[in-house]
Amino acid sequence: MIVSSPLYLILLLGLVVLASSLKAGAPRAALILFCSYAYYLTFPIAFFPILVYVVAVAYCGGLLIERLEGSRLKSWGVGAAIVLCFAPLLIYKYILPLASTSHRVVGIDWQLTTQTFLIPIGLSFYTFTAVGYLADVALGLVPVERAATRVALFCGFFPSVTSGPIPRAAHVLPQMDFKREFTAERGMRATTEILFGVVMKVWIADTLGVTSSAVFNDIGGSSALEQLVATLIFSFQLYADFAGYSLIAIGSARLLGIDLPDNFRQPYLADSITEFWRRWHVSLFTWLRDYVFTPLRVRWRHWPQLGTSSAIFITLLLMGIWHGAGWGYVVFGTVHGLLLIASQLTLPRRNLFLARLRIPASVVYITRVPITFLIVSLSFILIRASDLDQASRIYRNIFNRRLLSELSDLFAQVHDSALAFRHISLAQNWLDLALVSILVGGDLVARRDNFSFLQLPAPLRAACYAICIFVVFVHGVSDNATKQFLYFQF
Amino acid sequence: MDLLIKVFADTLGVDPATLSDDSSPDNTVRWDSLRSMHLVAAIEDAFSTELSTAEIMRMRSIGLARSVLRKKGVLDI
Repeated sequence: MIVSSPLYLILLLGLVVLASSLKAGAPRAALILFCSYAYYLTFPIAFFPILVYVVAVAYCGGLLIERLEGSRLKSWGVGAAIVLCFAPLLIYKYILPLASTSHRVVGIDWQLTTQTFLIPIGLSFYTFTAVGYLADVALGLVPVERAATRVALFCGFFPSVTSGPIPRAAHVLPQMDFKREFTAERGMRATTEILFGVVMKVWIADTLGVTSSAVFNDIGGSSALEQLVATLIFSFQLYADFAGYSLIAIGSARLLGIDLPDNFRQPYLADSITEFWRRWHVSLFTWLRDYVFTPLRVRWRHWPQLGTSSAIFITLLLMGIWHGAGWGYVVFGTVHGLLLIASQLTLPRRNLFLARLRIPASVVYITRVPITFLIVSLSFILIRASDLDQASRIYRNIFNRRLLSELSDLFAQVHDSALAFRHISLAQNWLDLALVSILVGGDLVARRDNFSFLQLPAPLRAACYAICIFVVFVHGVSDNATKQFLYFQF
Repeated sequence: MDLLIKVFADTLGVDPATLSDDSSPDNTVRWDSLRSMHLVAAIEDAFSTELSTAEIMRMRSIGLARSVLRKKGVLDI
């Protein structure tokens, strides 16, 4: 069951009503714990023991770390608990796929292997949640949790278990007693988040997906211009899909009295790669910042430039590999690591240069935003392409004179646009443009305050709600396996 | 003025009035991961102390930085 399906939304409403009728605290927590694990059981049952294992390691590991406090064995205990927590992720996401690839290399039939080793849904997300908890207990930032049910709820909370946002113990664990009462204000905000999330997924992401799939599934038969357009469209599809999911998850949790962390802060309005990573998949990036970048940077503090660059590179490489074991993800992480280092090294000189030219800050910002977006979009080819071969074919086509000649032909109207757009109809092009405009417009409105929408005049808000509900009814809420959230695969 | 807040404000280049014990990299625009090391160096200089990796990892907000320094015996903050 995916979170934009009609069944999920109906069950969520029922759960909110039932939970509100129960006494705040233990009874409510017990109900939500039961529902969270029942929800996870709607996915293949083989995934369930892995979630239970990770929760058990987090719970026992926390108790062990507390017992070893002050002992020389503490660091060994912390290391062992974290390795045991990471073990299923390493096995299912990296070791087994790599082993199956090596079978292919030696010529053994590995078809069965790849089908057997499905990655448990949400494994990367709940593993990072559990490891973050263990690290925070070890650092003394959160007290060890003695109730196993609270650790189980924290790691397996149904809105975030499959695709995040990755909750942090210091922020979310104290809320797991479910003592916060339902208020009209929270209800309004949560409902708006869920409605916007569903619209972003079922209307914007799924519609944009038609274009990107048509082109990416036939790279040999598509034009260079189409490949560039599909690449840009895919960036918006990925954003609408994942940010839509995150909004539904955040809204669902808020209805039950839990505030999950934000996951997106208008990423395509970023004016640098550094800024982009502060706005995209925020819960993953802050996790990596706190548990990977900071310790590395501190360890290498005596080599200021080299230490910072090395810590950035390793953090971004891990971010790439977090998405999967494929070479595309390794290259994606490497490219972003190098871009971030280059951005950090050159920013002071670039700023000085622009200051000397006396170019207004607003002009600099307006110029930088599309350049940053273009760089990010081009890097997403590494994630969207079926493999590195296909990605390199797309890059060769885009960075080719062929693209320029197709563009000039199109503008000169030498021939019909149908030659340049074989897979994307004119109507689809206009629809995509309209959807992208809505997405960017929404981000511009939310630029100063994520929820400035709720401060708009009531009639305007009512009109927006009506349009959203109409759109959802027309497009139908998504319950189709082919319309799964893109980030489910990670 | 609170010396710790002053150190943060001077290093981040922001108005001290905008900072409080709840300020963290998540709600303070200029407190990014790259400036964190400048903050560490500034805190070590201002309070004549040396911070370990674990202590720096604990300093996720000004309030937590204050608590780390108090545990190290820095009392006048």
